[in-house]
Amino acid sequence: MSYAETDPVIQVRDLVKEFDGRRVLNRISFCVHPGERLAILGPSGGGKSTLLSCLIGATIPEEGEIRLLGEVLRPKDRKAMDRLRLKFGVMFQGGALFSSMSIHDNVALPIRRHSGLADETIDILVGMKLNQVGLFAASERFPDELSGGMIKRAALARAMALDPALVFIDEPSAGLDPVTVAGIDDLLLKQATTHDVTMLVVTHDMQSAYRIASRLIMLYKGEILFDGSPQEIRECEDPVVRQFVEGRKDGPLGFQESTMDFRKLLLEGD
Amino acid sequence: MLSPLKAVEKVGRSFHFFCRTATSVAVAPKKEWRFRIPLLIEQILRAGLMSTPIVLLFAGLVGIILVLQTAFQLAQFGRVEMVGALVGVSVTREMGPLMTAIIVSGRVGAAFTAELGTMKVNDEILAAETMAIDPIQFLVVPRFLALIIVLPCLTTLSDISALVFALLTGASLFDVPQMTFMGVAQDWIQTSDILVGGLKSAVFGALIAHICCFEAFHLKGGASSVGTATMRAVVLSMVAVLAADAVFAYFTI
Ligand SMILES: Nc1ncnc2c1ncn2[C@@H]1O[C@H](COP(=O)(O)OP(=O)(O)O)[C@@H](O)[C@H]1O
Ligand SMILES: [Mg+2]
Repeated sequence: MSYAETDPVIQVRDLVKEFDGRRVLNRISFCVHPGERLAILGPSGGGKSTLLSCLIGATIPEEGEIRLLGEVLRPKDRKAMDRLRLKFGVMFQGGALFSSMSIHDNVALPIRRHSGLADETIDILVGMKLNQVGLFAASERFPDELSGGMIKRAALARAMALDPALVFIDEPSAGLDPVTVAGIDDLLLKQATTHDVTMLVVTHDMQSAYRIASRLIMLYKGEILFDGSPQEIRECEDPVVRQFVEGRKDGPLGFQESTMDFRKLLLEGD
Repeated sequence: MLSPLKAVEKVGRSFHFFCRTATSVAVAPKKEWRFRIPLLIEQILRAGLMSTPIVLLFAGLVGIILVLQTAFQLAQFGRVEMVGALVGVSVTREMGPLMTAIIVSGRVGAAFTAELGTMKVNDEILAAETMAIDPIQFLVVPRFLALIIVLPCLTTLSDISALVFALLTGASLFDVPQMTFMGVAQDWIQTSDILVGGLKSAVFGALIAHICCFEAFHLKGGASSVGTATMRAVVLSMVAVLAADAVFAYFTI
């Protein structure tokens, strides 16, 4: 069976992941169609990172099947994995740029490794990629000389280096100020539309999700609690979804504060 | 502490990692060498530059100590000129390869684990994998080959440094003429000593690189675990070097 342009880019069926017997993902199933920009939302500990890790083949789930671009993901088959890896990009939360290489070399690395193009051609290509993320002037700088926002931009350029059909993006707004976040969101949106890629973004930032996503999935306690458009999530009645969307402290979600009456303890001495 | 089961598991993983490195070295496609050679040269230069001064200094001091320790005894038998043979043989056969490997574990091996461990913690190794770049091929093989090449060279330098300082000490403190020292040393040092020393060094280099890269690739947790992994890697590689030396000693009696 061959993969057609209109088939789902990501198909996840009955995915189960456990850590020490504790279910972190409980029978997750969903599909992502070409051109969608899917945001995976949810409170910390909801299993977002675990899901992403399974999707890129870095974590092996206990049960279930993942298909990327029509192909079943088999993390243990190195050859098949590498073939598939050429077709998707990953932008890591901290950037994960190689600190011993300049930004230019970081973006050039996958192209050098996999394209067989001449060095001059690669240089021009990398220049264009960096220009698209607004880093052309910084191309000879090293990762530790860049600000957080610039690192995310460089990481995006590297994830897009091989013109993938699909990119995974982990927490694009983590550790950045709101203005920089807006800039990154805008860039992600622009890259997704101009390059016709499907995007899966893991985030806990509601504002950012509204800006980027065409569809939202909310993970809660290892299950999909909500799956729909930004308009639908605004109107969703579920108390957990409502609390998360509105960012309220009180509700079913959140840290259960444990307190103790010290006054009583001191006065009664018991 | 490590439970026995965990220890067995770790040895298994380590062996698997070693096999992957070895096959990556051996069955690389021709085009791989185009990427490998610049990385290898970089690692050779770094390892060499990092450890040459300390190896020279260390070996020189050991040369001086060996003369001071042995010349008095030899003088009692009226054979002080034999100091060249004693120092020459013990340095080329045993001390040179061993002390160079110990220094390189602490200097270069520690740097390997610290650098690769930081890359592991920062997801850089995972990032290489997701770009279909084999991290073993990209990060481990250049370091592995570099130490196999660099360690015998450093051992040769350390042999020379120890002998030169021994010669100067013998000449200035014990009136052993320089020509006599060199003559005796030449008579007693056999080509096989030098060859065995070189072979040992290459094996030590492989052991150090393997252990230090393995510890980095398999560390779990955050930044603080890089420190512990580095310490463990250095200790383990020193123990492995000594154990391998014992095996060599047994087979070359
Ligand atoms: N390697 C691991 N070992 C054990 N537990 C883990 C591991 N990774 C994640 N977990 C647990 O899985 C749950 C989900 O974590 P995670 O996927 O990181 O959630 P999120 O990214 O939504 O915050 C958490 O309770 C976390 O403690
Ligand atoms: Mg997370």
